[in-house]
Amino acid sequence: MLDVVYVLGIAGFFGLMIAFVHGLERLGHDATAPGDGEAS
Amino acid sequence: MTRPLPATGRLREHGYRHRRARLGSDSRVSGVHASTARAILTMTFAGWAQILVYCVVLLLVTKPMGLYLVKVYDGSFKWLGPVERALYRLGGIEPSEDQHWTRYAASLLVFTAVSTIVTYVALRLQGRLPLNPENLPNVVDRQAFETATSFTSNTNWQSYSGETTMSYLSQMTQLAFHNFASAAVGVAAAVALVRGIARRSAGRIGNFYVDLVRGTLYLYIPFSIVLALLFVQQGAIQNFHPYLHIATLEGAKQTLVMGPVASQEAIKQLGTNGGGFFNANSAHPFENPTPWSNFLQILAIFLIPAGLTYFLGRTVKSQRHGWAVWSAMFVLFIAGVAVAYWAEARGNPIHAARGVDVVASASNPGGNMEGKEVRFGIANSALFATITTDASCGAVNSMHDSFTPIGGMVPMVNIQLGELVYGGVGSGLYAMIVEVVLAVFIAGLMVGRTPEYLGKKIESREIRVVMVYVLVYAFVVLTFAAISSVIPAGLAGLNNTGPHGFSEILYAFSSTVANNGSAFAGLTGSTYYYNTMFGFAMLFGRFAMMVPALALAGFLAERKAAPESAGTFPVTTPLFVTLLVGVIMIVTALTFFPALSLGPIVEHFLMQAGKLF
Repeated sequence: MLDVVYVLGIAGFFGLMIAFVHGLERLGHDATAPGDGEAS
Repeated sequence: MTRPLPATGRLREHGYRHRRARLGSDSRVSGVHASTARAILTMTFAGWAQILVYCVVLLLVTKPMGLYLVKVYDGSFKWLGPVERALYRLGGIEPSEDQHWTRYAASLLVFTAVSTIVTYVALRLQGRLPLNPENLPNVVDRQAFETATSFTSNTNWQSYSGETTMSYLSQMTQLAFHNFASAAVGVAAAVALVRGIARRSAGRIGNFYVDLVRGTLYLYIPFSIVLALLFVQQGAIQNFHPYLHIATLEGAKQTLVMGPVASQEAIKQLGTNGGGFFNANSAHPFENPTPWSNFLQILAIFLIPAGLTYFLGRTVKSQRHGWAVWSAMFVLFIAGVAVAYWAEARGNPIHAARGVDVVASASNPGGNMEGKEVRFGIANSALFATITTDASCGAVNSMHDSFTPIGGMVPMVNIQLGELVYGGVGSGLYAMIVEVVLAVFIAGLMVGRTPEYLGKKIESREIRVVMVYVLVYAFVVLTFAAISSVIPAGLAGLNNTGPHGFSEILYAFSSTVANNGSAFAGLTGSTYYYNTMFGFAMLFGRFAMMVPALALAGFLAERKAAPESAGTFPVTTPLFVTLLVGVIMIVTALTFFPALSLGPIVEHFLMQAGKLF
């Protein structure tokens, strides 16, 4: 039983990290507003 | 039979700590003083000479190692081309693909997730698998989880005794595999970040699988073979024999543990992994037989991280910047060694007050020898402890928990700095680059100009990911340590009360989240609570920090490089080194000083007043 919990815990953590990657990518886009980023 | 060992952390030392705790219960000694003059006398010329030799050799190996790294990661080396191509075909990898940072990060995460689960299953089935002459049973679920996450995150925190828990198959195909793979993953992330600084490539930072394969084939495997042979020459064992059961001269029975130790030892240090074959780690004579093997071990820990600073300079075409980063690391390193050596050479004033001779002489190392190998003495113990915690290694040749409060605070602070003093392989460099970006940003604010780092503008999105990086570590360490300090499951593992007990918990989470793996081992970590908490702490500390570093790589790679102007803050000068060191110290001091005050700092003053814990 606990084996399933631990394996799901590992898989869930890495799933969370994949979501974190996409969150940071969106954060990068959101932060590059007009006047920001290379245009400045 | 091998003596059953309490299981917690990298190195277990209950005997020492319990003795100290018993002493503490009635150990108020009035008028305890240890003079500074005595401390200076106890730090020896031989001790400082060894530290100096180490520093000179480290300086000398930095450039050749850096040039080697450049050739590994720019594809110049092709002498294992057929093997490399076969691996790409086997994995269905297109080596010419230049990955966007999101794809690079996803590849890294998927590779690690799969290998973590495979290791968990392999450890749980160990008893049914071959190469297990001692018929060791399956690893229990909580330890299999912690070990799988520990080795994939390059932490190697061990809540078990390797010689009584892991079969040869588990050691060689699982733990050793991760020693190579996790180190190569760390360097890959750092190389990707350096590419991000050097490139203008719409967020593309290389190919994770190519970096992983090349780092393993051209860097870790050949270096490990050479180093393992040197360890064998020095007397480290390397065999597959069953354990030897012998009778001592007194007629007692003793078990001598055998196994492929030298090969494990090589990658343990080169990959800044730190997980020992034996419970005693590098204090064990089969792992670390001589002063020369000890020197090679500590040199191996810093070899690749130091070379990476040269790699940085060469890749971004500013060699002076690479040396400036090296210098900032060196300042922090030598400061740590000096404080740790001073504190341990000064010793425990309570010992002195009770008549123990703590002054060094021809027949007495002096100072605080509790928990230290007589073969290595105080200077080499302080040096090893500083190096192993500057890097994310965590191998130990002495017991950090038995250091004096200030001496023990040095390893803890080194870890809390983010292990960026040369640091873990790869993780040290990207941690330092994060601090460099922060320092450049602060310098830009001070002069009212848009901050630039090597021609790349540093704006809000870069600073956002830098702050995510900085906050993840502090948040996880302090939150997990705070919870564990108040709930029964956390307190149940403590063998020491008062500030030292708190230090053990704080050190444990600082170490696991930073992927170091060493321990203040008075804490019994082999419980469902701690195994599970540490497992997740290690995962967050590794990957929730690596992902922002890769995001920073991608963001910087998207920026055009602007030519330097009069307003550009130079990142090659002593002023830059000073600012960088200051930023690192301030960020750490603001974050961890309150917690340190409750642990080693107050413990130091109580020791001066004659009380131990």
